[in-house]
Amino acid sequence: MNFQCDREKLLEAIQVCQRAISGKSMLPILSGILLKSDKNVLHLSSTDLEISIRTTVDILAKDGGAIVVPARLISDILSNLEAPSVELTLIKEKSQLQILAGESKFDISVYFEEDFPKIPEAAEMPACAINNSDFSRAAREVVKGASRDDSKPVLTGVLVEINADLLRMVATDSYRLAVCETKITGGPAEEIKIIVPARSLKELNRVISGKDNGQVAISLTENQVIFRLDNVDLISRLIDGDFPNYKQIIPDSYEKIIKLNKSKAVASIKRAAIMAQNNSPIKMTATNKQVVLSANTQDVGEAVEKMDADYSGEEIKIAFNPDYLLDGITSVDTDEFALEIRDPLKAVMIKPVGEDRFQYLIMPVRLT
Amino acid sequence: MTGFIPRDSAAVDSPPLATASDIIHLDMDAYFASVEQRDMPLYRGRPLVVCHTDDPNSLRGVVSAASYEARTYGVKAGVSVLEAKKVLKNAIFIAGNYDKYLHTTRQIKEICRRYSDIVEVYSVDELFIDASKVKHLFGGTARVALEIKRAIQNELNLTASVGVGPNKLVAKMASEFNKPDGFTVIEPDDLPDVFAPLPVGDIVGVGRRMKRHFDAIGVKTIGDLADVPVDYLTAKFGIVGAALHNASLGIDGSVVAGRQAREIVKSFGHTHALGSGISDKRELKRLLLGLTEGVARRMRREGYYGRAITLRLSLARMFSISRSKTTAYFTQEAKDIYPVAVALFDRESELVEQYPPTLIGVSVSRLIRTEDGIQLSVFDIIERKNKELTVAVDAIRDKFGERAVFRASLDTWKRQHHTVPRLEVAK
Repeated sequence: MNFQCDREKLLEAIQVCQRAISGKSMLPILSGILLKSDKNVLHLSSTDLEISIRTTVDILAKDGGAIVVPARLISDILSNLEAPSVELTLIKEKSQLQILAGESKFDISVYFEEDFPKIPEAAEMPACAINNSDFSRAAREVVKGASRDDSKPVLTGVLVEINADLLRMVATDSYRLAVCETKITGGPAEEIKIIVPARSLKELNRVISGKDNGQVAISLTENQVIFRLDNVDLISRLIDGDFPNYKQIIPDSYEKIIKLNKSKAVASIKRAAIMAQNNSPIKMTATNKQVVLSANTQDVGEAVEKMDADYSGEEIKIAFNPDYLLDGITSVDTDEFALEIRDPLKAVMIKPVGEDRFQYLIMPVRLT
Repeated sequence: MTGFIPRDSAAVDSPPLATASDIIHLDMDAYFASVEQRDMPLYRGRPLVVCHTDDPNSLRGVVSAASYEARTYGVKAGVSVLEAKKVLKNAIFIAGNYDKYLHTTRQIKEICRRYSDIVEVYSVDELFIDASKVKHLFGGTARVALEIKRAIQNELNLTASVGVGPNKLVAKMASEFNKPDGFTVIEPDDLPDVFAPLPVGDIVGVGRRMKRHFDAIGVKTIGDLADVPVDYLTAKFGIVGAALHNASLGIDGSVVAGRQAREIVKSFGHTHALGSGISDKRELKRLLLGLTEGVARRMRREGYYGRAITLRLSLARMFSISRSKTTAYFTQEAKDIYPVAVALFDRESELVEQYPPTLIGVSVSRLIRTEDGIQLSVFDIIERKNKELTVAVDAIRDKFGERAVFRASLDTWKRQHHTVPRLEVAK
C-alpha cells in the first residue's frame, strides 16, 4: 500500500471514524481504523461492535492494500504535522506503516486486515431519506429522554417509526417521554419500527453537525440500521425487544394550559434548582397570570422565583425533577411553550406553542 | 411529701393527673413465650421455652425466651438449649416464629401511636413513648401509659410492664420494678433516692466487665456510683464515664426516636445463613427472591426508595464478596430489585459452583424518603395493576401477618428451612 493525500482531509476522515471507537474495548484491534486503498479512493472503517463508521477520502495511489492503524496514534500524528500533504506506505516485512510529510517521518506498528470484523454493506434501496438538519434536530430533542440505565435495554434506545410521509422518534426513561415527528416524502408503504441505541443517534448527530445541507438516507439490514450521509455511513446495531406502548401514556386532553416564555422560564428554573439538592423536587404553583417556583433542601435553604404566565383558572400546585423539566423546555425551539396539566399526579405535556411537531411528557413528583 | 411509691396496676385506676414525667417505657413480659402461650392454650400454665434453633428436637441453639413458669427453674434467654433441657424435664420446647413476634410488635406500636406519634421501637419487646405533646389530651402521662397498657391487654391479650419517668433511662428502670404486669411511675422529685439502693448492674450499659471493676472499688449500688467522682469515671471509661455518672443521678438527655427524629438510614438489607453451604442455583435464587421481598416490604413500610442494589455472598466460609449495581430508578418493589440482584448473582456463577455459599444477602442503598417527593413513572400508568397488587398484599400482611400471603415459589423453602431471614438496618 502506498498513496499520497491531503493531510487535513485524511485527518477529518479519521476523526469521523474515531466516533465509533470506544476506549474501553477489550479487543486491541478495535482501537484501530481499517484503511483500504482502492484505485484513487481510500476506504476507512471503524467499529466498536455496536456502532460502525465507514467513510472515504480521495487519494493518489501507487499501490493498493489494506491495514488496520491505531486510531489515536494516527490522529495525533496527522493533527501535529504541518505539511499540506502526506505519503503513507506499508512496509510489509516490518508490518509497519510509514508516514512521510515534509521533513517528518513516522514508522508505526499496524494490525492486519484479516483480524478486523466485517461491517455490513448498505442495502441498495434506502427506506427513506430526510434532510440533515431536520433529522439532527429531531434526534437532539429526543435522545435526552432515553434512559442511561442498561438494566432496561429497550429504554436506552430511541424508537424510530417510519411510514410513507412521517418519521417519528420516541424515547423514554420512564420518567419522561419525548416524541418528535418530522414530515418526509417517499417513505416506505409499510411502516418500519426499529429501536436504535440513543448513543448511535448522538454520534450520528456529531457527524452531521456542520453539514446542514444534504440528506440522511436510512436503510436496514436484518439487525442493523445504516445511516448514509454524503460519504459517511454510520451503521448501528438495533435493540431487540418491545418498546412500551407510548400512545397509551399520552393523554388525549388537558384541562389546564400554562403558557410561558422559554428563556425566562429556563433562567428561573436554573436559579431555583440551585436550592433543589439531594433529589429534591422543584415546586410550581400557578395562579392567575403568575407562576411561582420554589425549591428547598433541608439544612441548605430555599429559593422562590416568580414569573408572568399566560394562565387563568384555578390554582395548580405541582412538583418536578428540575433536570427533567429543563431538558424538556430547552428542547422546545419556539420562544413560547405550553405546559399542559391535567392533575398534579398525572403526566404533564411540554409543547412548543403553535406546533405539534414535538411533545415532551414529564411525570411530576408526588409530594406526601 | 415525696418518696418513691411503686404503684401496681390495681392501685392506679386514678393515676396522678399531673406527673412531671413524660416518657413511657413498655417492656413486654416474657414476650415470645407469652405470644405463643396466647396462641396455643396447650402451652398455658406450663414451662415453655422458645428456642433459637432450626430444630426444637435438637440440643443445639440457645433459648430466646422462657415463660415465667420456666424462669422459676432458672431458665432464661441466652441459656443453651442443652442446659435448659437438663433442668426442665417436662417443659415444652418450640422454635421461635419471629415473623409473628415482629408482626405483634408492629401491632403494639400501632396501639401506642394512637396516643402519641413519638414512638420508638427500642427492641422487639421494648418501646419508648414520649407523651409530652399529648398528655393534656388524656389527663396526664400516667393515664396515657395506663390506657396503652390496657389496650395491649384487651386487644392483643398480652401483658406489659410499664415504667413512666422523666427520661428514657428512668422510665426503663421503672418498668423493671414490678414485673410482670407492672406499672411504676417515678417522679423527678423521687430521684435520686429511688435509684440509690438499686444494684449498680441495673443501669443499662453496665455489663459484666464493668461490674467486676465496680466490685473491686466497692461500688455496689447506684448510690455508691453517684458518690464516685466524675473525673475518676471519665479517666477510667472515657465518655461513658460521664454518662454513667449522670445515669447514677437519673439524668439522661437522649430523645425518643420517633418517626420525626431524622435517623439517617443508609441501607436496608436481609441475609440468610445457609448452614454448610448450598450450590443449587435455583434454590439460591429462590432464597434471593424471598430476601428481596422482605427488603422491599420493609422499605415500603418505612417509607424509603433506593437505587443501589448489593448482593452479598459468603463462599464456603472462606471469603465474602459483595457486588453492587446502581440503577437509574428509585424503587421499593421486589420486581425491580430482584432482576438486578439475579444479574449480579449470575455473574458470580462460577464462584458459586466452586464454593457453595454459606450466606446470601441482598441490600438496597442510596435511599430517598417517600416524604421528600417521589418521581412518578410513566409506567405507573401502564403497570398500575402491579402497584395495586403490591398495595393489596401489603394490606393483607399488615392485618394478618407476614406469612398470610407469600409467593408460591417460596412455599417449599419456607417449609424446608424453618427459619427466617435475619434483619439488618445499617445506620
